[in-house]
Amino acid sequence: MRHAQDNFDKHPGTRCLVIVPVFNESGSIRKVICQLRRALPEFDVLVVDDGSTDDTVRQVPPGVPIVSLPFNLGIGGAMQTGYRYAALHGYDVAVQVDGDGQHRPSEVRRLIDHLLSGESDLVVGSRFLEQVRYKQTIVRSIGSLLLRGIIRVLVGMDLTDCTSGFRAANRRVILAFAHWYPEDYPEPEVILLLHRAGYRISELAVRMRHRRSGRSSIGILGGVFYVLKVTVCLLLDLVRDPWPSGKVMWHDHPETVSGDLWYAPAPAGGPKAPHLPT
Amino acid sequence: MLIGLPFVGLAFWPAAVGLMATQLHIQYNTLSLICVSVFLFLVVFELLTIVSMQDQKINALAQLVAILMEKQKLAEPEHRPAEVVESSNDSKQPSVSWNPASQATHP
Repeated sequence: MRHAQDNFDKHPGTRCLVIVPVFNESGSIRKVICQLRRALPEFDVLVVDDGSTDDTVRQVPPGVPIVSLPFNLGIGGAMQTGYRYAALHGYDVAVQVDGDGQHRPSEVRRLIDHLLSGESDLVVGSRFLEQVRYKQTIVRSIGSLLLRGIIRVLVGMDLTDCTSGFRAANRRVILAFAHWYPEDYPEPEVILLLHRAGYRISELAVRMRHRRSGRSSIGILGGVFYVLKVTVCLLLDLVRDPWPSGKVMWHDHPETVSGDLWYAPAPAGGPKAPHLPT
Repeated sequence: MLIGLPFVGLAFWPAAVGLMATQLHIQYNTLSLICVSVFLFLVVFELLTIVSMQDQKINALAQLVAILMEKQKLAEPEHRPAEVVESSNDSKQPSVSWNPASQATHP
């Protein structure tokens, strides 16, 4: 078995960002960040606070950048913020790690190593790829199976865990996500859209914990509604093209904000696009 | 509501359909009703499209503001909250180092 560090050593200077989106995760965020810093000292960690109403931000250890959104945008908005941050700061790899403690920091390195092998642009950590002891409720299991079947029918790709938020993206995908990212429940939509746009997606078996604290954003009725809504979104995504080739551009100088990203370029003589300080 | 209100009006004044058809030079009354309904539907659809586009712009602005605020905090360490800034009795400068790149923790 190849050591998880092999591909990472072959790409020295690879800048990796661990994006931790949080919403009212005061009970677990400190431990998650400490574990990340202990397991991945050479990686940068970014906490994206999605309008938490408790003291989640205060629980974050000092020295960790925190991007606090002025109001709740949902997991899609929070993650896009993280990807935009990664794109602006020139990161090569971005990994999403949930702030509820479900994702093991020790598995992050395996994800990145698999990504750096060059076989895929997005690596999804799957709870169900191998014989793992991850138990779900019946509703979530059924929903997960349904979504897996729908994606297989629509794009011919069989992902065992299309709702996993534990994923690593290379720079191509970072730029694509910074340009556009689904808002509400982005995990399955992103799989379909990336595949249709020609990006390569692969899965890696990982171990996950059950959430330590906080509440899941998907309850029983919410689970049924989730499946229905995602199904409709996936059908609409068949005609959507958020990342047309040649349109997603990011300048070689990520410290400047290009009009291609968020709005049309200013007309001649008009106000200039804002420049982020270097 | 925009589509429903005219129909509420028609419920109290059914003859308005014929009057509208006459004004629009349409021979069949029901056809005029369909034309007006389609027009109202297009208006609502246009408004929803505008709302959706504005929502995307608002989200993008919120994300940009949040990133800029984080950059502002890094660029101006003297404006950080007092509880994480320590100063010695003799020096005027804060003695705590602030280096986000190394993720240094504060004593």
